[in-house]
Amino acid sequence: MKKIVKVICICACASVLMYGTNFINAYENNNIGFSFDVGAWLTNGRVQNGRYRSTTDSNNSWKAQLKTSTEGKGTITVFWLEHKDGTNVSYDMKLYQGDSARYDSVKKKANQSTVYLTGENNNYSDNYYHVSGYWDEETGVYLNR
Amino acid sequence: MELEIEKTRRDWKKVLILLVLILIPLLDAGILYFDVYSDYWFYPEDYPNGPSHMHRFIPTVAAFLSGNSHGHLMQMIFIFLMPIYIMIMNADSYLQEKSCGYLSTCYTRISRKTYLMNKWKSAFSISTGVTLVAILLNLVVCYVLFWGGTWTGGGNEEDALYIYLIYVISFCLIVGLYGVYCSCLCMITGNRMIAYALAVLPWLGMIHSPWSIVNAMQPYTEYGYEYFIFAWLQILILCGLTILFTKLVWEKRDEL
Repeated sequence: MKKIVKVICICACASVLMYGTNFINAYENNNIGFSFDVGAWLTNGRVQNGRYRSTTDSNNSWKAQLKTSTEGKGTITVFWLEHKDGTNVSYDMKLYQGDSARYDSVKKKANQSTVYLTGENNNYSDNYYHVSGYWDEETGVYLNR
Repeated sequence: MELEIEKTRRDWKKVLILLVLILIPLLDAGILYFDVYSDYWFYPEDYPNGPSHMHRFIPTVAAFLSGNSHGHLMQMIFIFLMPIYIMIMNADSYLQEKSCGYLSTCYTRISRKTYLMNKWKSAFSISTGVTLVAILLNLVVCYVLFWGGTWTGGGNEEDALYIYLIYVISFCLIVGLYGVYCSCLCMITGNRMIAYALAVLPWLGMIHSPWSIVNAMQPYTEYGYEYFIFAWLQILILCGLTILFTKLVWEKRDEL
């Protein structure tokens, strides 16, 4: 009997720990690296693996920071979040290479779903280049809408 | 000149192209409007402060040449295929007149010099005029749809209408000059396929070059004024040399 109670307690503690860890990660301002090619002729670049946005609050912002871009120093790339099928679930955000991270709220459909960071060139000149930086699908930084 | 405009008006293919050119920027404004407002329409409870707190673009930033719609699909259809639109609308009228025998009749009434100037004037006016109407109509619609908007999308654009208008004028003049260039191509080559190929390929090449001509069409980018100047230099060199050749060589050639 004592053994069973012990096992139940250990399991309960483990669950709390796991839930607690997830809870902290979800609302933590993380720096998750991204690196992809921004394509030409309507081809967007996108991270290979999406991340699950567990929050239900659209004001719990996502963020992105453009560290390097082979388009050039100080150039702009447009980023947003989307689902795997290409549905846009955030507003576009223009990022300058070398600038600090920018934060923005999402659209309702982004919450409690897997989102992918996607990027495209702000110019319609048909350039093809590589970008890398950091992002987070939910930062715990709340914006007023 | 009036005859050229009348001929454009009466040809259904030319009118269709005209309507397509006017429709594309309007469609772009509609797509952007839906992208901005759709979340509020479907989930108003997610916007406790109402639509005034949404990401509503500054009207000139939402306008067609700024290229803030996703994928730039409408800009690509409008700008990348512009030589084809120009040719169909008016620039290839020389080839049409040659094939139906009207050209011979024309040369008995007016000099080649007058004929050439008429062709150039109409190619420039119609190309520039249609493009200007399409872009300005889109601008007016954007002011209506996005009135009071302040969102730049994270860029550093000001609500500077004069900057946008400079690019509108630049774009329309480029299209007008290219219309004259296409008209010259038709006269020099005398062959529809070769003329169309020589109209489209250099245009795409200039878009794709490191000093892309879109830098003289798209405002609010990270590229400085030197890119604007180099874009214009490419157009001026290509069109200028072709126009000069047509004037000095083709005009003096005996075609009959």
